[in-house]
Amino acid sequence: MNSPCPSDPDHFWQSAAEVDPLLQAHLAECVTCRARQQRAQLAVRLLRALPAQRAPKTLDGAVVAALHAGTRQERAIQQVSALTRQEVPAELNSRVEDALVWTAEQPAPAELEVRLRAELAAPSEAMSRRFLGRLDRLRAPQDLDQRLSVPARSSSRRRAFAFVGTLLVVMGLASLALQRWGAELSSSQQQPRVAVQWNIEVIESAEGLDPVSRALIGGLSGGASEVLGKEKL
Amino acid sequence: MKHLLFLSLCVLTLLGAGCSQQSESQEPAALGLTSGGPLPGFLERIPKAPFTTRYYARRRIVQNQTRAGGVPQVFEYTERVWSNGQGGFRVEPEQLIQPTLPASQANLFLLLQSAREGFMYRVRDFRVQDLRLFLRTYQLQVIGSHLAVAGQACERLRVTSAGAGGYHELDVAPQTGLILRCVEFDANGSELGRMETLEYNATPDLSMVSLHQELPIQDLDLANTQSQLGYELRTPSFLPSGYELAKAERVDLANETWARLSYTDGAEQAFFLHRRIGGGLTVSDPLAKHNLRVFTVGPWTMLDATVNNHRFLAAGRLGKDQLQMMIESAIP
Repeated sequence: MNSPCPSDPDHFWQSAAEVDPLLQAHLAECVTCRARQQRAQLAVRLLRALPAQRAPKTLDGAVVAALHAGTRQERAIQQVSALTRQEVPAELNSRVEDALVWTAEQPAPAELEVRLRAELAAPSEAMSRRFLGRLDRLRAPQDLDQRLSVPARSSSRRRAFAFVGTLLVVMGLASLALQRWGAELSSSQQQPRVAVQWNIEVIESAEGLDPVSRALIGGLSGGASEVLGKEKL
Repeated sequence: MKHLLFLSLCVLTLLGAGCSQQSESQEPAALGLTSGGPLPGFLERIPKAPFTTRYYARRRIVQNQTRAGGVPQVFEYTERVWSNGQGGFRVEPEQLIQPTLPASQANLFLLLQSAREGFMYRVRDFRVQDLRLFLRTYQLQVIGSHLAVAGQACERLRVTSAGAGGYHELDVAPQTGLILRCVEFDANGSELGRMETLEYNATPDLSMVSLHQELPIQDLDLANTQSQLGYELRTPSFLPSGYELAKAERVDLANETWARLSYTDGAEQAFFLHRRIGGGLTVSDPLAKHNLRVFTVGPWTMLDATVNNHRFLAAGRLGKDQLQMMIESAIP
């Protein structure tokens, strides 16, 4: 290849009649430039095939406004500079003061103090109590009442079984509660830290997206975003 | 009383089982190769095969989707692909088969496909992006061998995600690791889409092929984004289950500078982009603007969020809520 590739891509948009003979010679021997030119020409054909759109009537006004944007900014700055500072009404001050005084005067209930002290003294115990307290209380079966009504023949062996059984149940429930607490803690750490109240807009067509978003979803979906739903138009 | 003791032991046994199940699920050994045998040897070749194999292929892409209102819709086209085996490739869309569009729109589609050939080649199809993550997220089953796709001998793998109900069947040429056919099914076994190779040539003439030209991209140093971007990058602290950061780049798109973070679960990819669009308000200030634009097509979702003077894009084969949580987790 003798001639270098043109640095200005605008050359590829020219029609065959307009192309410089040197460039034509280059295109004959450079595959990359020929592909670029073919793509550009396809784009030109597509653009020419589009129906002509009338400019909106408001365009004239917008052009004039844009041309005088500097003057407009200066006028706005002058107007804003000329504004005088507005005093807050005295009534608002007194109301804010009243509200703040009222809030400051409200002491925390004594019960809160007691609970807080107990929690700080034994945090793990308080946590277990809290989670165990959330478990549903089950009702004992009726036949248990009947059995208990019969005088029990107590023996040391039965008491030992009962003790071990109860201990295991308590350990099991405590372990369950701690596991659940751990899971809740880890999932809460994964959650986003803010709850933003979004103004949500659902876009129906890829044409409603800006070029970067449109290219991204177009690439991800293999082009489906550009085509699906179009045949109904 | 014996019942009580038995119940207690049961509770403890179940708790113990729950713990061990959780820890085992993260072991690579729990891959679920039903044959119980070792991993197929060609598995390691799959991630890089599209870039290390010299080939030409003509491929057919089909997506079966359902529009709002339950109306089924088919998207189908063919394309030609060249790879020089040294990282260079070219994807040339050939024909849009379905839906039927006016000629100008069909041509525009082909032009756009050509312009985003990098995405088509690297992201569109189900691919093993990261083998370590892939083996952690997906279960593999060898369900067939000595099959032929476009004249090439292939092994068939069934790939099931731990989280989703559907699965993929991949026909892989073991010698190269190239996926020559990939079919996606939902949990009921209905086909959702496919990429299949119709023609294959292992010794193509590339002299007339103009290979893909990369966009201006630079790797992003996450420890020092200010100097590369001109603003501090906000990264999401929440990621969808199984996803990890794969790449961080600075890209210049449509005369705008963006930070682009790519995440993968080993096969699927999700993207998170951040850009500062002006001075003044930062994301740390009280929210003045917080607009969220949502666009969905098939299983893909695209979110475009404006938070004060910052823009965030999040896109992937994920639901809106997960992408929204990613964005929200990037806001302090």
